[in-house]
Amino acid sequence: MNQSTIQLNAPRQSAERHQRVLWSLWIAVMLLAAIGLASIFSATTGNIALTRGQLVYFIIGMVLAMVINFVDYRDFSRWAYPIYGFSLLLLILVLIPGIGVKVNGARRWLDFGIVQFQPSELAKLTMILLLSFFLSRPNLDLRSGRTFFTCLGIIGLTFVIILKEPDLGSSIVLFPVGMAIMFIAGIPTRFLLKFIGAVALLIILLVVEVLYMPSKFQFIKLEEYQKRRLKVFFHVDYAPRNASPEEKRRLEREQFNDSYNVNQAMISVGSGGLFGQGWRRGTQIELGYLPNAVAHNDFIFSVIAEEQGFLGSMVILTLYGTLLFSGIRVAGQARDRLGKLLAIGITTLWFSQIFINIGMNVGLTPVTGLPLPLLSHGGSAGISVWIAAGVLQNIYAYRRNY
Amino acid sequence: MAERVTDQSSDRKLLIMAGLMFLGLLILSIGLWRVQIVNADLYTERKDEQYHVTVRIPAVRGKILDSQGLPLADNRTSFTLNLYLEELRELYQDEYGPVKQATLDRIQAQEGRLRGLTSAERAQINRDARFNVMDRLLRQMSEIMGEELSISRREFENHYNQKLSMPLAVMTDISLSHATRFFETTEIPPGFDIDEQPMRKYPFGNLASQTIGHMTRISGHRKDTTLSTKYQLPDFEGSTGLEKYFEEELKGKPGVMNVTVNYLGYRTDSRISTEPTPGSNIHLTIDADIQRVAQEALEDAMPNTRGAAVVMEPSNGNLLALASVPGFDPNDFVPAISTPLWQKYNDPIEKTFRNRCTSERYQPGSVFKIVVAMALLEDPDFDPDQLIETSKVFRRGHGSGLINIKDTAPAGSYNLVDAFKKSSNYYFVETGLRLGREKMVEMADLFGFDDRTSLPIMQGASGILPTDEYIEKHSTYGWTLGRTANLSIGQGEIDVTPLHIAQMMACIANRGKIPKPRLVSSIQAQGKGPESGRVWEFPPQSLGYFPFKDRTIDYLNRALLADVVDRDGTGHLANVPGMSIGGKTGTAVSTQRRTTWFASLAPVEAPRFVVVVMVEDGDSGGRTCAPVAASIYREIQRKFYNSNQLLRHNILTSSNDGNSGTPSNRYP
Repeated sequence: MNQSTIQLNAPRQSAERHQRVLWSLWIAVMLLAAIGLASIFSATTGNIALTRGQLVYFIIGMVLAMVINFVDYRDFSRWAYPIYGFSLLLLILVLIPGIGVKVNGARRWLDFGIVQFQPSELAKLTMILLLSFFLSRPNLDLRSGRTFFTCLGIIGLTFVIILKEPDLGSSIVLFPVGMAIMFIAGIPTRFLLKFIGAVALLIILLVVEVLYMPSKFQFIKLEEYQKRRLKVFFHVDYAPRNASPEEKRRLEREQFNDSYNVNQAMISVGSGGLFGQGWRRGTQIELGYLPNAVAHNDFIFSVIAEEQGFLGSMVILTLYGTLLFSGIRVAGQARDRLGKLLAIGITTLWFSQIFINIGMNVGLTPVTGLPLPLLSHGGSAGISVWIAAGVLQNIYAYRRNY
Repeated sequence: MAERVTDQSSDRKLLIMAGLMFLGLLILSIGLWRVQIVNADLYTERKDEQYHVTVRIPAVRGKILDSQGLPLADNRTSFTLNLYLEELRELYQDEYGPVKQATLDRIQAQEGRLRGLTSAERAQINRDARFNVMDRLLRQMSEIMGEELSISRREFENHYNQKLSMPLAVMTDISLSHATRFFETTEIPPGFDIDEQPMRKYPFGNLASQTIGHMTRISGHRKDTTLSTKYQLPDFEGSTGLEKYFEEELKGKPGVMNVTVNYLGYRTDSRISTEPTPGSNIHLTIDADIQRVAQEALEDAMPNTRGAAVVMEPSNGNLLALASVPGFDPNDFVPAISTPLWQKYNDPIEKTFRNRCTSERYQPGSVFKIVVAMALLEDPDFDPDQLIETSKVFRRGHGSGLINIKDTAPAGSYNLVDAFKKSSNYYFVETGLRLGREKMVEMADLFGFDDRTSLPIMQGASGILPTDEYIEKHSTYGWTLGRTANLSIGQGEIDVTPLHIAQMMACIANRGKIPKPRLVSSIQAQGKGPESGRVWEFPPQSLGYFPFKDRTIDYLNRALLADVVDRDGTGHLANVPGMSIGGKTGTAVSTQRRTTWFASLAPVEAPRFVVVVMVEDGDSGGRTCAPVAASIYREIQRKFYNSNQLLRHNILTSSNDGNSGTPSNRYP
């Protein structure tokens, strides 16, 4: 309490900073990162190079998280527009053939020679920054439709560009993140509910159209593989009823191939049972049924679930819970609306990715290429989690006083 | 500048967010619980299903042993040169690059520019790379084995697509010298190995071949219904004879091998989950020595003999030999019979596969006079010593009722014994007509001529007797005296198998008791199972008993003995000093063929053996069949009447089996 009196009267730059570490967050992050490294090692059947690479990303992320804490979040937030603009530029660069690197039909990477960089990971964070900054302007009328639609415009622009890559998973998480920020910022709930209702309706229409309409009558053009992922999730046959037998056989084989990953992931998770098969004892990896290409990134959770069982899965969920509630705690204690919105945006982003990714491994959500924070292999995603955690620490360090 | 957030609604909203996230984690927990705990078994099962391929392993087949324990059907080790495809995966990958380059070069040459490969082209490159690797290794192996090995692209593709986890058999049933070459070569190309497998062999070649039968390969399309295995190793099943009849007992219980396969279908591990239980051994009453002698004597009887010989012990019905020539070599069916050989064996006249002892019907001819004689002797009013004047031709009646039968015996006055040993047709037609059809049929029926031979060899036949039912069924113009006359000398509406005649002789030897012919004495379970060592006995059985008068048997024995011992007896060539053989010759002539017979028992005083010989289209019973019987009796004498009964080298050294080495090694 003594401290707080000082802070109230003291100039901001000199005394407001608390020399406090948000231990719950960092313990969860460290443990998850360690588990992530061990799991990547196991998922790649002991590929030390990939694991070492991920460790390097984590160290880079850790350094960046520290660097961020030398600057007050309110200072770098003023750069929100240029930062966001820069990330949009990168996103657009990715779309240009010859600059963006195409992997599995999607252009998501920028090649910088030694490292490849995924601008969509950066864009998620910069959009959070921009929305939070925009909604924390002092003279803003939060109740006006104009503010609401400006926010929707920011979300929509980011969404469309990322969708173009195409990266449906990363673009879709922008909506819950944006909604959460607007909700906490004080945008009238009726706006949000109306919007959510409209989106829900649109999604239902879209799903019905994709699943049950012949493709020539569809006016929403989804990528073929996105349509197929939906069909796989809803167990709808690829083959139309009037398909010729060989066409039917071909489509059935393709459907088997397309649902192969998620089927194998569920076999991995299910066969883990209560206690699991033990680290590096997962047969799905050893015999290659869980494809090498996805085991260490999109489907890392199924590797953990097979090897550590239900108990291990619960440990992971508990750590994520700790991570998320640390984020909400930071939001609750943030000095200003900017901090609160930043914190809630980051937390919601993490939550959405966790829910969609783990949900995909147990058949609750469709397959989307969303990484699992700190567990999935990947440089851009790995570093971005550390940066986001650094931002949370920053907000916590400048939190308000009681 | 910094705006304080102090409103209560914002904290409430944060609580809502926290609640939503908690709910999300809860939903994930429930999802995990459902998959990992509730449905864990289901997913574990699906895992096992995709990991494991089950393979049926045939059991070692039971042996068929003769009465002395010599194996008539045995097993040998067969070597198969296998190629394990999973060991070639790295080589495929090495090969992929060059093949891809060749394809790109070709595209450039054809289309004038480079372009990306279609998925079909990539698949083709993969197929080509795999085939090239296999083909190259096969060529290396050909050099090592000194023999051209080749597998067609189609064969290889089929194997690759359908049973990748199974080794590809490159060379089956290879010789020991090839196997030695393989094991002595230090630089064996990768992926090759030699696997052992038991294979049927018949150490004595064609010995009792129709009785033992042969095997055929079970075709790949037939599924084993007792085990739900996906693949089976090459297996055989009995298709004729004892091999077929006792298939269940002989084949044992197949085992199961679990092969673990990776996601591409390559084998990563294999483990036998159920050991096969070997099949049971079948012990026969057949004596390999006597069988061998009977077959050889038949073969020597005339050029290209088609005939049969049955040797039986009347006391228990044990069949010591069931010889039928020509025979076949059941080894020819393992692993598969060649087409020319198959055609040769199926010759419509040779009838190699037919067991002439039990399944071919013949006219008994004069051998039937035994039946007539017994029917006569059973009639108390018949005087066997009464002389009957005979002439060269028996002629009676006129017109359509004319009976005209030539006699091979010289004209003169005969009593029963003389008429029997000279086989006087006149005498037996005369007495047979007095006796009548019913009496003769009744006696023949007593010996079981009308019943089907019932040995467990999948080949049997009943005889033909002119019973009332038979006449009603087959003869539209009724029975005539001429037919009775013909029946009296064993011709016309009368057919028997050699085994029927042996049954009759055994009945006489036993003074009325008819033993059931016995081929299998016991079945003995093998292996380590609970049934191990268990023995199922097949005790001797009787087909019936008829209390003949002593006079009947005594007179008949006198007549039988006279036929062989007396110099003017028709069966004198069967005489073996010291054996006291009694017999009857027969030569039946019909429009189709000439059947010559010799039916006998010995020693007449207390018969222990019955020998029946039949030769198709022989010269006469006395000249063709009696010498065969003599050879058999000499062997019987050597084996059962010599002081040293253990001399078995005869059969062991006369074995012409090619691939078993010398059997004497096995029976020191």
